[in-house]
Amino acid sequence: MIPVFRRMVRHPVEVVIAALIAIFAVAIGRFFDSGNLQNILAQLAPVLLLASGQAIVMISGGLDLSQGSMVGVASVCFIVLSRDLGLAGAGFATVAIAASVGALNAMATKFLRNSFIATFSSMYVLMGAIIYATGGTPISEMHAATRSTLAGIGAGTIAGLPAAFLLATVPVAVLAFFLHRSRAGLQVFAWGSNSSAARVHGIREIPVLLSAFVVSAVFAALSGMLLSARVLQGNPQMGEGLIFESIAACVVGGVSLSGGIGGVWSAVRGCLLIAIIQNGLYLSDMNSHVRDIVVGVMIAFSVLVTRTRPQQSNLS
Amino acid sequence: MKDPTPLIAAKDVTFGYEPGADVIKELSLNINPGEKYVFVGPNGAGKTTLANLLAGSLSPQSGRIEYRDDMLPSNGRKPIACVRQSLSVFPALTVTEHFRLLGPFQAQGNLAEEGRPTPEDCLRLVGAKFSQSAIVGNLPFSSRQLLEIALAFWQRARVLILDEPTSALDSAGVDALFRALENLARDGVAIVLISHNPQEIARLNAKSVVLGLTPAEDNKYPVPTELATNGSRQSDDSVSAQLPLGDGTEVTVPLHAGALTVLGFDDAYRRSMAWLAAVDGERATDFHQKSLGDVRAIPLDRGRFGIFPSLSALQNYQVLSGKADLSTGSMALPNDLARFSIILPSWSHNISALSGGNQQKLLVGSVLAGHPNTVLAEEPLLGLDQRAQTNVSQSFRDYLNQGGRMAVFTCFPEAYADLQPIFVLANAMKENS
Repeated sequence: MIPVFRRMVRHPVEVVIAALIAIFAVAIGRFFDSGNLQNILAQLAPVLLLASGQAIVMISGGLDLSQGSMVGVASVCFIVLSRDLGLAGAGFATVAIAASVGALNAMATKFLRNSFIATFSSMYVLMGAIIYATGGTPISEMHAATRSTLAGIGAGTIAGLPAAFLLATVPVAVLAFFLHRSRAGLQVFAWGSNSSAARVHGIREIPVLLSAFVVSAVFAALSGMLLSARVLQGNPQMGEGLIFESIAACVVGGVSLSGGIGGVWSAVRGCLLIAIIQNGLYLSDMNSHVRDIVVGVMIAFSVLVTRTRPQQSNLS
Repeated sequence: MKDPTPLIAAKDVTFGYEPGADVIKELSLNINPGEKYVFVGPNGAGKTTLANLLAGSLSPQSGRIEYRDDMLPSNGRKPIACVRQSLSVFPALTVTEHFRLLGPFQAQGNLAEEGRPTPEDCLRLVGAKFSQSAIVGNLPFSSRQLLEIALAFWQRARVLILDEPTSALDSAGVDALFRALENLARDGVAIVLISHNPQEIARLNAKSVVLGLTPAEDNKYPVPTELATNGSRQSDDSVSAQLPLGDGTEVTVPLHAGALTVLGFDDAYRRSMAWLAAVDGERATDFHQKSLGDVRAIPLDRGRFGIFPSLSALQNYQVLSGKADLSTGSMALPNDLARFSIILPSWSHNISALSGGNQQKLLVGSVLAGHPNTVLAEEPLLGLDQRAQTNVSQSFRDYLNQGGRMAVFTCFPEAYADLQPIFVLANAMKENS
């Protein structure tokens, strides 16, 4: 019994997730309906991409505030470009646009020496540009074939799992491999842990920043495309508020705001925890404003109980 | 003159970071006013841990530590000053602001207010030469260490604990420090010194507290046996590099494949500034990339430039050596480090679980394991016990035998005489070399 308990203490976020699932399953009958579980996973997919991308930036010691705007830009570009390039072509083009934005974010971070300001600026630039270009109105006009394919991605299931969720897990798994199994990934951790030491030991700043910010922007674009598939339109304001969910999921899951600590799994479990809290309370027929209050309190409480004890340092 | 009641009394104190591995075992010790103590023992023996227990920043798992009544003032701030290996100064504040921020411990008894030294006095006492308006984060390690010692004087501690205080100092700095310590002891301050340097230990004429590992504990830790050496070097050319000294001047340094170049300094500040100018890729791009190629550094300021505090011991090895073969998913244990007998609970533990000396061994071993073209080291032997110094020197010899180029920046060039180095007079070379 004791070893089991010790293992539980070592994975407190997972324990809280399991406990919440158990509580909701008992208290709310509909929670375990296959429809509801599919709903949780489908809604999880875009946030999962955003939080995983945010995680690599946070591990490198930065923050990417432009993710939300990137979602809107990608959503519009994807739908508009699909008219001429087809879905696959539009997808590649949107990813290429996002990668350039990520590279610009990386360079701005290098020269401003501050990712907060660099991405705060690009957040405004992207948001202004896309709303100016679209007039702020959603774009629904697309080929019939495009519409039906997107509907399949946005609402379809494969082997009982939402297609959007399955599509999101692929890049997240690739990122996990890159971050935790490659030398370049380790260098991102090293840079976030101690950039002065990293510089002295021959790790170059630009590749680290590029990999972090390009991944973040591309994942935001993928997230925007998934959201477009769900609502069947390109919406310049699609990403509103998502940046907070992305950062919150990382922090709740255990990615450190000061860099060097965390991982893709941290972001994933953070997303899961928040999604389960939101879904369980949504099903409980609570007044929506009261629900917001309870969500906020429960997230803070989860962080309180899952906060791992800092590793004993010998202060030497 | 001697007060019979000890300032701190430790009784049967036991402490360990991991269950079942006690670092300190049933130790009893009295710290009396005006007395001097030296904690000696190999790296990882628990010297720093004992100091932290006495200072109250760690709590014993069994036994107890009692403080004399006047050591427990109402504001809860024990009059114990610690000068640690990882310095606890504030990088964003100026020197003056440190003195303003850290007032003296509660004024007590015979320490009269009018006799109180000014910040200038405290800085002069330790031989500090930097400006009081300097931002502390811009000062080199040696100057920050002097500031920390000066602050300990300024705060009027009853107990002064110094963990390897001379590691970044030159000989004039060491002289000034020891004179100051004698004066403090005469005023009734208890001095606790942690040191590896036999000369310093003899000089302080103090009571020795010997800490050590039992052979059983020494064997308990995973020590891989096979030495792996399969590095290849891009170029064996000898070069003469223009080395910036950090103050606008330059010195020409010959760097030969297979030979150690020792740059002797009589001034710790200039030594640190020169090392920093040489390794800092941003400031010294020409020196770094054009003349030397693949340069790796072994810093004295380990906390700032050496290790990655949030990563595990294994990840630190992988980053420092560049040997991150993670794609297979298997954990390649660092065989290169076998000879250093690094004491650690496991390779997946955080690097901060290692003692200072063991961190230094891991740092030196990992950097050399990457077989870089050139290594620039600042005082790489400091903080190591005798056995570790021998091991590190031997690993330098092996690295040089394989054609490596290495320069050591030091105030103690004689420590490298065994390696038959090329001595370079960086500024007013020490007379004896």
